Amino acid sequence: MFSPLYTPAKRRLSMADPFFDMGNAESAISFYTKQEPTSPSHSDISRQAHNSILQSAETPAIVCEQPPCMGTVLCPTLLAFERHYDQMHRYVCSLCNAILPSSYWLDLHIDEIHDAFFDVRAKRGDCMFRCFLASCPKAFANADDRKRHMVHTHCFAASFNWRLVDTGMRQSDESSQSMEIDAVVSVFKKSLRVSAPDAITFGASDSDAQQWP
Amino acid sequence: MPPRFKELYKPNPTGKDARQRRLQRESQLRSLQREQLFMGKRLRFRTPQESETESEFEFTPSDTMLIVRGLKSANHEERMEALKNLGAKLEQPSESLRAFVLEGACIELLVGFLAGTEAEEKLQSLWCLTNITAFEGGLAEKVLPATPYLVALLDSEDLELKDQAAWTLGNLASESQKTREYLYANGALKRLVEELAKTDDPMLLQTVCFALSNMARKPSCYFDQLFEMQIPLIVARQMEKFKRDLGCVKELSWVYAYLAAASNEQQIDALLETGAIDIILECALAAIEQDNAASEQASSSNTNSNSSSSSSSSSAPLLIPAIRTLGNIAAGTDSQTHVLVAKPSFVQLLVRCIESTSSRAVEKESLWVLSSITACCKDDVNAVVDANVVPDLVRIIEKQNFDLKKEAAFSLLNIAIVGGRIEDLPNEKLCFEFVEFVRSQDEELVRLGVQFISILFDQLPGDVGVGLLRRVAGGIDALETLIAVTEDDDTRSTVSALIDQYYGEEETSEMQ
Repeated sequence: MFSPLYTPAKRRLSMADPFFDMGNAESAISFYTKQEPTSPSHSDISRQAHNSILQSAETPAIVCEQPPCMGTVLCPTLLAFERHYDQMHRYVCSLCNAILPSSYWLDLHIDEIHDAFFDVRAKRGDCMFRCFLASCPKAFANADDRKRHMVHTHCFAASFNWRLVDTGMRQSDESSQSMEIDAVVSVFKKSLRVSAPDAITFGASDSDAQQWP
Repeated sequence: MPPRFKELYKPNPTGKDARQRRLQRESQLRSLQREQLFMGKRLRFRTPQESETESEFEFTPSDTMLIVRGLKSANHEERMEALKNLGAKLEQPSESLRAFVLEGACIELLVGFLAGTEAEEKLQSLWCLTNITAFEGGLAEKVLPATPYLVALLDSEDLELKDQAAWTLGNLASESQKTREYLYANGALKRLVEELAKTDDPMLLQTVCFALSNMARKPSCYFDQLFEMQIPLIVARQMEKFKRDLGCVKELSWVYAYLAAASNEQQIDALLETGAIDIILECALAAIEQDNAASEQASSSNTNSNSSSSSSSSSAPLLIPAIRTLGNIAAGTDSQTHVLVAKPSFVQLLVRCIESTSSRAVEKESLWVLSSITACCKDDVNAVVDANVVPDLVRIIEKQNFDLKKEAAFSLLNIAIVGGRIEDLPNEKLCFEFVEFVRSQDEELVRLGVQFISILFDQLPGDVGVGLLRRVAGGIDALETLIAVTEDDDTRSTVSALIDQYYGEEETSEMQ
């Protein structure tokens, strides 16, 4: 039985706790409104002050509009949004547009998929397959040994998406429930990849000449 | 032909000047500082009529000289004029006015009036001191030397002077541990408690309560004295006497709120024994039910009005200290929590507060109390669920911003874990919300999300839990990403077990 991440507990809070800021502000505003009940503009202004406090206390969620999130991901704070952005949008392989969840994973991906010498050295028997955790220095001669290490030492799920380092993250879709998992993965791999030309050229060429008026 | 000596005419306020004054006044109120909004200090404003006659230009060093001249004048009228002028400027002190207070002779001059004989001048001077203590930046500490006079003025026959002195002491007490202990050493606490016990005047009672609430703030070296002086009992007696005056009940509740927040186990028992809690519950419930009735009447008679967007809860000022008191008592020992839950109006009040959407602060703090109640024992969870609070918790977790969502989530998780009532919850909806928590990347929310999914898998029969997660788009992906990035071994273990269970189930169904 693994230790629970959340344990029910009573919470005692001191009166200076920021949790009570909104309530304190509301109480204070009602006190000031009562001070001059005959002045309607005064209570109007109090309400404006109140609303601006509430707005800052409420901290509306930050919505991620980037594809593939498209408004379905909400983050409560800027820090959380940055974390989300790092995982879903920042570490994209420029060669194949695979999305990786951290800079370390992107490094692993580039080494293992796009480095021509990787296969050579791996076949030679060098320990090229690094542990998926940046903090662990271990490396293995093949992906299966690494997988065993991840499961037994670092408690990775046996059903983890081991192809993450190869293909990047898959995204979910409403139709996924009715599909086989492999089919799902392949569909989303394609949907993630933005089609890019094999070679990008600048300057006039015969085929490009027609494009610009 | 223009008048010959136009430039000598005293400038009369033109429309533009009046507008300028009004805008200044508006910005004054809009910029109520942290001290007045969050730290419990109170400014005293002049009424618009009083301030109309005074110039509202920026306070310059030459203004300082004018004020000082006025304060030192031999003429009573001139002294009063200077005091009122100073008091008005202190509602929003400029840099040069602050310098005058901190480095100039301001405090010395004001204290001089307190030692004098003119009651009107004493009051105006007290008013200035009250407003000086209402700001931060070392201004309040400058007023500490006036403490003996302030305490002495509590003995005055003049109600207004007593009231203003108590007000100033209240602001001073809020400032810091140092100021509180200085006031205590000068006998302020003792006099305030005596006044609390004997006063018949509702306004003075409220101000004395304000001062005592701030004296009860922690840290302080004398907190236990508050109980030895029988403050809870005195508050309870006054609450019984003034229970029809909601302003008094409100301020008395604040004293209890501050006491409850810092009390030890025995002190919480003392608070429960006085009977004040029952009066607080009675008044709070009546207030919120009156609010609900009023808003129902308003919405049925004004179908076209947009009053719902601008109306604020009139019961919130009383509910907030009530809920704080109850919350900190409910977070005590299990038997203390149970004493509260056993009071029929307690659960009823909590449910009403959570149902009501007119005050966000009331909703948020009630959810906090509910989370402590539901963390206690199965009977208390059952009492709360039977009072039909779950639909409101679900509404909040679906519709509200994250601060309220999180609070509602605590209670829902507690109902599932402590109450063992996961099957009574609308898990389809909740699974969606808790997956959003996992995707939100906020550490605490992620933990709550994973815990809920774990309970679904563990406690729902068969593969019902897995089925629920499968129906949430992005559910399993969020968990997989979590394994890839988390540094925490516990999280990884728990989440891995869930993923294996998820795919393990699916493989079984595919093989069939």
